[in-house]
Amino acid sequence: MKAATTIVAAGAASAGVAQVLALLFVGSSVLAGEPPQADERFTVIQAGRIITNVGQEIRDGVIVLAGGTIRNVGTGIEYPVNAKVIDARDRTVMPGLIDPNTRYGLPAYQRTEVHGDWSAASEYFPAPDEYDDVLDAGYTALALVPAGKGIPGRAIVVRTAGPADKRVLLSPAYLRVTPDKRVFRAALERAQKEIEKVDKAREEFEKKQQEQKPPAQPVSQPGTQPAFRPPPIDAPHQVLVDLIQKKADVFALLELNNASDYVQMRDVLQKFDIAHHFLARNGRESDLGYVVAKLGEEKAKIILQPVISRVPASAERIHLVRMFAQAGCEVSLTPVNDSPREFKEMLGRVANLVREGWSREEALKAVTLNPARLLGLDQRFGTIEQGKEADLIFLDGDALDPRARVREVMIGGEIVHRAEVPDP
Amino acid sequence: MTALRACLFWAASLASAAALAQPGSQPATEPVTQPASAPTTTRAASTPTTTTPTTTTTTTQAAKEKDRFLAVINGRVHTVTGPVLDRATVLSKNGIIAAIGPEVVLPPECEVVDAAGLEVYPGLIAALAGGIHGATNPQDTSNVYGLNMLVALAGGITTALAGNDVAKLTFGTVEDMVVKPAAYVSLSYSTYKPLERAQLRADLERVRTYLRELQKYEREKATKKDAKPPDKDWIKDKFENYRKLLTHEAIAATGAQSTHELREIADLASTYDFTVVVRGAYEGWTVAPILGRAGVRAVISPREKHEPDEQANRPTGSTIENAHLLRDAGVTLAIVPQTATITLWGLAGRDLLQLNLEAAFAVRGGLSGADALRAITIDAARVLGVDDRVGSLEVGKDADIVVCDGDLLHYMTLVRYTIVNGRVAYDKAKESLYAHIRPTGQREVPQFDDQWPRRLEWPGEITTEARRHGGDER
Repeated sequence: MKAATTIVAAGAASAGVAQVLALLFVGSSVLAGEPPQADERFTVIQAGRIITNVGQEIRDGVIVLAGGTIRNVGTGIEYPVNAKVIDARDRTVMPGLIDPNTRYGLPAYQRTEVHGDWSAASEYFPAPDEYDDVLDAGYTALALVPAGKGIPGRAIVVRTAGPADKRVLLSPAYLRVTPDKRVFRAALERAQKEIEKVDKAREEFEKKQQEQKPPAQPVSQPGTQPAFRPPPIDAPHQVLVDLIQKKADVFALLELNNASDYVQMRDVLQKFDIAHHFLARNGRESDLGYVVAKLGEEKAKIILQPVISRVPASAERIHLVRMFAQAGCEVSLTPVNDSPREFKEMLGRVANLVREGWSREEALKAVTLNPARLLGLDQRFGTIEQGKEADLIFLDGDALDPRARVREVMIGGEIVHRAEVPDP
Repeated sequence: MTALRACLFWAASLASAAALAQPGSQPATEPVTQPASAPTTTRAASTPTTTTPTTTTTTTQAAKEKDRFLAVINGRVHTVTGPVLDRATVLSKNGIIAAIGPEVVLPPECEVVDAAGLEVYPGLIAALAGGIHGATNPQDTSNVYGLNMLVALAGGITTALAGNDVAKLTFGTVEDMVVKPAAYVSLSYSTYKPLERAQLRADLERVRTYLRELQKYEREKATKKDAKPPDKDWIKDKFENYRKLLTHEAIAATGAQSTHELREIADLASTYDFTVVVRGAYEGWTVAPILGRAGVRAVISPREKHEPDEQANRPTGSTIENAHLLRDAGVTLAIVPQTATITLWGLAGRDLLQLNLEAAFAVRGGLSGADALRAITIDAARVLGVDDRVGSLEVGKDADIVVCDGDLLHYMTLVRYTIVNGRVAYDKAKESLYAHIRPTGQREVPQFDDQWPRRLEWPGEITTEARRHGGDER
């Protein structure tokens, strides 16, 4: 049976299983005995299994969508008889995967030093089939980061498919900070100087106003009073100024290549208290085990790679991902590199982490809900519950089953991608 | 026993806690044994530039928080500058040694390292090193969890030269890492570059003239009204460095190997009266008295080997007695291995993994064991100009301590604990490097059946043959 025929958009006549009619939607055509047209406002997914990421998995459940948003999830739910029904009774439905840090599809453009005013948006020109491989892998959103050393700029978060006007979810998003302590500290010190510059100018301005204004004169008209115009802040450092002043809804993503980078970055953070999360490159050989407890203590949000590492200069294997999670960190996972193959391997690698001893629920959250929370998109994505947007994937088996694969991808309530699966 | 006594005496000695807080001071109530040579002796010998700003800030910062105590108890304490104390305690407070002696009272909440049956030494000092810290600004660029730093700590090293800075091996933290920034003024006085030599002499002469004029002005300004200070605008960059040299605020360092190079640099140092550290100096033994008189300090590798020049009508080449002859002539010695880095691939035993064994080779050449120990502790610290802070176990100095399972210069000895700034930076049992080697600390090598020469199950006649040649006497 081909993929296209498995899921059919059916009218109420064929979906005769749940004919509970909401009175409001009983149209005149039904009364007249004509075959009712599908109500495009509602889409109903009949799913064999739903991984909601909140509470228990649901078997033989129903997801009701309206306008690309999830209205209701559960079993035995009422929905309009003329809703568009997607028969996914042989599918496992789960939230789309989110990659919190990638350069997939971006050109190799490197920057050095501090570029807080740049973002990956200037490199984002996706071709029509740009993300086909990523969609095959089940990814519905990616955080694209600028490349380079120092502070190369800010990320953007995009959907991998869907209408062009709804593609970009966040622009700009977090600030990428590579593990270069001296650049990071110098940038923050410079930003601090910019703040002092503005404060000094304001002080001088107020002093001048006081001097100019004769004390005897009555309160001047509000319109005539000249407003304080702050001196311009150096554009590449503006975002760092915002971070220090805790103004904008932005955080710094501090990259750690090894355990020492954490100590060095924390040394800077002792002086500058800024919002931050971490990305740790736990490769095949990693000494990050040294700082697990410290990161766990501060309940850090951390992005990791789904691999079992080895302690340097030894044959000892360590499950760093589990160690971080158990220490109290909120772990998100990102593919090992930006190749399409790694995206497609992702669920297999997650399955491996579970096989090596990690909770299945946590592992699945680490590729869906936790990245959404890290990016500040957890109000919109990451779970299947009321109010969330319908960026879902349909698998033909369990998410961690090596035989299963992603068959359909839904973004904003529409099936936007179907995997081409060869006949067995 | 000590702990119990500690509890009993603690209440009585609360009053002395304040005295403990100040580094260098001794609590009045406890009978604390002070090493024979007082720290002041060492300080006078050191250069005036070696200030301790880091220590001061740490002490004040930590005072606001909780005091951090660590005690190494029951060990045989080699103070290096003083006596060897049996079953003594070294107490560290906030990274500074607060008390040493057999009857030290431990405060409550004190981390205790039991060194019963073990030897306690000051942390070793690598007067020449690479690859342990980052090259520049070690506190910013070092990998504080790096394997190199870990294996150096496992070799007992607690302080090393990092670029031109002297830095501690503070494993897992960057706190109090730098002991002394800009340790040396680097001089180039090579005989191959006559122009550079002439320039250096001219520059030193100019600075010396300036200093003499300045002295004259200081003398005369009270009596003479028209006395003018000499022009000092040009005293910057290299001239500022030379000024520091001539006023003994800084130490010079240069590479000098052969007899004539050493003689020349000694001559320069005694002419302009500054302190110079020569690196290499394998022919130092030929001019040892000259070097001694000029106050030259040397960084040498006893095992360095150079063939004598057969055509020269004078003693040439290297000798294993180099260290011993230089020391006898009064040269302050620091011993480093030939490859002063951590190499995990090169010739085993020739890098900083075995700094103590390099010193042991000097003993083979006639140096006394005590002097060999000094050459990797207090004298190495003196060569680096940090002997007011590290290099020996004295009250008021930094708590950099090595606890090992035997004589430090013995080839069997392994380091059990390395303590840096009053923190345990290396624990043999906890790191995977040497934990499996003699885990209980026994000195006798266990006799395995299949130890070399290997006795394999040979068939028939070959067994007889092998036994005839092989050592089956055991």
